[in-house]
Amino acid sequence: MQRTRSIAISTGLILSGVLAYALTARPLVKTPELAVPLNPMGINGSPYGEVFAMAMQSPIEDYFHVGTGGEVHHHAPGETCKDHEHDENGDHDHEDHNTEAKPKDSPPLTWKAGFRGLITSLGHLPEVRTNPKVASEALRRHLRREAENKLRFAYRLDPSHYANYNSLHFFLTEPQIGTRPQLSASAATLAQETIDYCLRKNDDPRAALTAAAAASNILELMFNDRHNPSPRFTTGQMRDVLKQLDHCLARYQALANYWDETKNWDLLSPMRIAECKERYRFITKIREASLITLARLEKEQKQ
Amino acid sequence: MRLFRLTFATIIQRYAWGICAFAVICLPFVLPWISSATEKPILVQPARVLAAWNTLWISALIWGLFSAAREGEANAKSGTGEYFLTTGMSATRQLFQIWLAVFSVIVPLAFATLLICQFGAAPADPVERSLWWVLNIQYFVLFLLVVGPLLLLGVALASRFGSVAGFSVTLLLAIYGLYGVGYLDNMLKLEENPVLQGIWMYSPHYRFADLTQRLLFKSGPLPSSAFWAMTLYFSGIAAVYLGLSRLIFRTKVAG
Repeated sequence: MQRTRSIAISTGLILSGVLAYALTARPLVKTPELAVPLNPMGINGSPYGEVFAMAMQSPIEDYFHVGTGGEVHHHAPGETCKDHEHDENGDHDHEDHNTEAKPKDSPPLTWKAGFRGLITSLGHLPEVRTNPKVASEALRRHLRREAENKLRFAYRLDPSHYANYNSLHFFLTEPQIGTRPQLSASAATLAQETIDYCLRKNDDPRAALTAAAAASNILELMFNDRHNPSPRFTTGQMRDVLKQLDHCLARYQALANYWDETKNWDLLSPMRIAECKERYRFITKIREASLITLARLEKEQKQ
Repeated sequence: MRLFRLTFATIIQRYAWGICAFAVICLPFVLPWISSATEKPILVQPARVLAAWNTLWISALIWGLFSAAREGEANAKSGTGEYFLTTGMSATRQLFQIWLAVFSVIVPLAFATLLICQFGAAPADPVERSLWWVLNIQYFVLFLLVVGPLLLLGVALASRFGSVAGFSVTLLLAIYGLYGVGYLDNMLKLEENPVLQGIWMYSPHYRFADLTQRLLFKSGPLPSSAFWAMTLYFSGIAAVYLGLSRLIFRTKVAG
């Protein structure tokens, strides 16, 4: 008897609970104001995310190469590499990448550097392709998508990180063989989102620099589009992007001056400050070049 | 309340709660030093908020659910449950007292987080500061409403299926409710599926109780109607878990 009563109470509790939760589930789930972006432990865009984004610089290079069909190879920072060139701003020259996979002559294990070297080379083993045949199209597509996901993951950790944004941007616009980089919808959205995110941040001048880089990337691809038989972008649109670029650079200056006053620069390592100045110099030069190109295009249009 | 005292004393004797208490109190002050707040002092407070609540979630979901499962299993396996049954303490009472013992350790941890967040990371602006209290208390209430029923289910499942099942099922349920539903939603946005849509709709959306991002971006407290709807929602889930736990819980190993 008591057992039946206990079961009845439990059943009653379950039924009333289901009723309460079913009635409230729909309005809660459908309220857009309560929708929060999926961000496990709030790490993306957080102060910790910014540190992880910085720490991801080395694997990013591997992801990029695997994703673009190149075989991964590792070299210490600053070490030169004859296969490809990296300029100071993370741009990659991929023209001489060999698309044909080559079997390895010798196993990639290195005993020289001791146990640490062995562990590192063992870690790289899954990426080594020993099959003499070229990877199939489907596999290449899969690797590409995987690499994009990884680069996007790094980008989301800190969308205002200059190098992570640029890596993802170059990846998205990386041309198929024989074509020029194009301002694809995904690259344009990425750039715009980055600009919006970075301009909202008022605690760091470096974010404004990333926004400026995004604007200059859009501009560069718009110029590239001019080579097409029927260009999609007008010089007016280019002028607008240039204005946005100027706005970003002005914001960088304002925030940098504020950091001068508050001595916030002293909290950064000299390397980071030098890197920041170098990037500023680079974007300023890009801007000057863009100005000249734009003037030339406008002149051509008038003629 | 003899079983409560016994379980509580057992938990306290094991000192693992000390690690959680240490983490909950110290990490919010230590972790910001490995964040970008070292370069931008303005970010110390958001970094502290994030460290405080995440440490609490991890402590409650790992240590809390594990303790609940272990105590639930021990009660059934060691014969303690059978003994208390002969003294006239019903199974539901035993379940409640074991749960209360674990919950009594989680509540002070959550309260410590609330205080750290309130006094160690409140915004300077007086208007924002007054809203900060409300948001913190809302978070505290919702957190307990999520964790409490999960602990109860952990005790009940472990008493019948063993502590591994009690711990892993509740932990997976919590992670699914916090993040899994978000991933499922992303998948459904790419491709509609009525069955998955139904599963998603009636999954426990614990993500609503995670107000860390509201604190982080100083979005202000939840509108009161939404807060009460959430309270009702989580109370509904609590009632379901309570009913299930009463059915699942047993005081002795069968056989």
